[in-house]
Amino acid sequence: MPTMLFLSQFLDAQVVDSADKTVGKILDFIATTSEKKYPEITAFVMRDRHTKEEKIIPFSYIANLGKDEVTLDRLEGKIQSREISPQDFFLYRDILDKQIVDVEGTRVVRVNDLQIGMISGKPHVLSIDISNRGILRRIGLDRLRIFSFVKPRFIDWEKVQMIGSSLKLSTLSSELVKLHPADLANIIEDLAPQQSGHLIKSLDSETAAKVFEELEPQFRYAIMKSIDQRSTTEILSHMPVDELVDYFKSIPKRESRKLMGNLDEEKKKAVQKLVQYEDDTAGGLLTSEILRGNPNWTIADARDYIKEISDSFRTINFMYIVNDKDGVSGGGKLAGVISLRSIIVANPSEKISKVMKRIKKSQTINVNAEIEEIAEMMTKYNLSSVAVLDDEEKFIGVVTIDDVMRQFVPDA
Amino acid sequence: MEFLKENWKKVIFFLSIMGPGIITATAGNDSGGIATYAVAGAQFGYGLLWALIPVAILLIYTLDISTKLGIVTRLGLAALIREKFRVKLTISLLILVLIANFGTTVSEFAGISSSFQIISNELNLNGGDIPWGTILQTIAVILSSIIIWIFIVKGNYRRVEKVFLTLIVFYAAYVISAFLAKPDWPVAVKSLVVPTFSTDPAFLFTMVGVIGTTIAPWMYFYHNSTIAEKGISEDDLKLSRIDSCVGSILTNIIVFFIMVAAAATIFVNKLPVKTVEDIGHSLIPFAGEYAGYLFAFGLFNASIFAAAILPLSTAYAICEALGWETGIDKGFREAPQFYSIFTGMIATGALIVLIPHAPLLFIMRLSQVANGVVLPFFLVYLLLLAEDEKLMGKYAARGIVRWFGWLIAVILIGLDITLLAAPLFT
Repeated sequence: MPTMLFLSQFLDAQVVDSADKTVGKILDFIATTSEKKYPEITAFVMRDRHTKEEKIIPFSYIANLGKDEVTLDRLEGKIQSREISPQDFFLYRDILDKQIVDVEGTRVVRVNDLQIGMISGKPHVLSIDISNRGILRRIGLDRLRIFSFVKPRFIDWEKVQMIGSSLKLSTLSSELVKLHPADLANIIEDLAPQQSGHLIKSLDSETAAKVFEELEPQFRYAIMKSIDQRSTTEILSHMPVDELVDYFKSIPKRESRKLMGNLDEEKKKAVQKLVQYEDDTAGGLLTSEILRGNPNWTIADARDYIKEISDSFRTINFMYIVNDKDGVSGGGKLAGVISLRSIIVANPSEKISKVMKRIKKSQTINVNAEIEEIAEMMTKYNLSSVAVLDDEEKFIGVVTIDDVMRQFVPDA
Repeated sequence: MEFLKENWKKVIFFLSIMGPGIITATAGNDSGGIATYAVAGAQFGYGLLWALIPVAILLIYTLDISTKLGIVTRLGLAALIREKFRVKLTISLLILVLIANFGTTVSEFAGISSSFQIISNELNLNGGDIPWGTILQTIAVILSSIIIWIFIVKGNYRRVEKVFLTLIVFYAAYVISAFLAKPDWPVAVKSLVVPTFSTDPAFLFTMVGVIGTTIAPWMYFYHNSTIAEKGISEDDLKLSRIDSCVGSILTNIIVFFIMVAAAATIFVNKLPVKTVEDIGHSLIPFAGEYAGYLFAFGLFNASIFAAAILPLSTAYAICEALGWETGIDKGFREAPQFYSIFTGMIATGALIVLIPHAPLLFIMRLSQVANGVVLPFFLVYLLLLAEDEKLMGKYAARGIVRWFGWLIAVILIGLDITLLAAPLFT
């Protein structure tokens, strides 16, 4: 097995020219991002022995890459330093000791060392060492036999995501984007606010909204604060009303007023109505974005309507039938409910009012009802969701069993 | 009505932010602190009370830096030190912190033991054939360590914080025992605001000790990590600063009462005291037995409080620096190193106190030296982090705030070196 090379072995190494004269010491390695799987190390930063200046020297000058001494292929006078390009990043300054996302393990880890390897004769960054062996190597104790039980652990460069350094965040690793929003949320909670802001912003706003909903409440505000107004508005516009209500309730009034102003009219109205209810009452728990239908429709109408509107709902299980002038725009008295199953099974020409299950008033709940009462009703009638009526007995939303569970088991 | 409601909401909101600052500052009043303050009061009466005002300012200022660091970066102090000062410096610092914190943990368990010694001596429990007092002390240390362990390992952050905040209430024991000691209040208050000096070396060393025990690195590791763990945002910065401000003032008020209680009884009657147990006993003839019991109870409370926080602080620091999982909200399986360090410190800390003839004094002295050596480096790191504009952005310390920080550092380092060198001259 060829010996492995690590960044830490070259930091502070002496640089000598072809006449064996010391010219300086290595402070950092510079890698350049490209389309390739692993970034190539294209230059190093050297402190000049005489002028004490920091110079960027192309890696191609190196004739022999030894661990304590690096020999150049030319004389001191022939060394030409180069400029930094936007694709460059510094391995010591930007990555070593910093936090990085381990995409496969969906967690944030600290970079203890970087493994370097030759690909077609050129040095590349292959993986990061996150093990305690990396730490031992840094303090020069890795060769002690008593520590031989500490094994190195590498994460392939492809499976990591750098955050908030000089690397442009537009290059989000494809692996990261594939993660479940809940996993992304866990990662984001472990990052510093600025980094998590960067990460959220680089996601598309729909994913960002889902991730945001998965964040622990105490982190949401801090993270929103670290991104700009426009992205915030974008993210909020992708969130369902009940999540928005929860969020607005948790932040200072002045802030929520400002944010609410940026929502579209319809959402704003719905949110303003619900914000006034306590968290553990039906009003605080309910979801107002539910599929509504008109009793005068036929089953075929209902199917067409579902096809047309289904994009705006995460899940559809029931259609709530409302006696309203135009049927579906919210408000109105609740007439009944029809399951998706009935809509599929029933004769297309049948009228909804014939097929739907009527809802007795005793099986609905007042907007001010407390959570215990809701849970009791769900258990008693074996319901997975309960319709909520306001004080004028208008239908305003639904509390699902998930909403109730989340109140009882908040940490899950 | 609306006004009241709005303000009430503000109070509730503050209570939700409150915690890290008050807990840290109060925990600084640990068994070692109480011994130092009480002995200072016993030896010099009201003469050193004035030192509490500069001490409060020091505490407010340094905790404020830590608050800002925690909120802006949401990283613990050790992680920040690692990122800025890299592995070698961080590890050297951590080794010293570990020694210092371990010794301090031992002294907390010794404090638990002392508090029961005061009680058992008073009840003359060791008078008979069976040394009931010693047995009581042993049981107290074992039970305390088990309770602390279960409480942290099984608890989550919010619950742990609530219990800590409740423990703070029991510091009122010192307020009551001070009143029972019937001090000369006008003189006490006057001594608080009018500094008195003496060139007596003993006076100077005690003064340095009083100021020095207030600032210990473990407090900042704990403070900063819990701010990060709590996820307090930039908008709550003001409230969080109030939290540490209230904590610093509160803790100094408690110190005031501890010193007053000792001054009004032991100093006034010119009793020779050396240890914290002596003070507990000596209070009784002058302030009544309740004052003695309250003093012992206060010591027990403070010791158990700090005995929980010190191992936590150490575990936070080491794990953050080395990139291991941390957090009270995590379980043993999720953060094995964090809980192992915590468990190891509690177990060995308690065990050492239980071993007869263990070199307690040596361990505590070693810990004081380690603390003394760490402090200058720690302060410099803290200030360098605070003024790092890349890290802190608009919250970076600038101008007068920055210079005040360095002034404090110079004063503290001077005092620190004096304390370290003190044994050479006496």
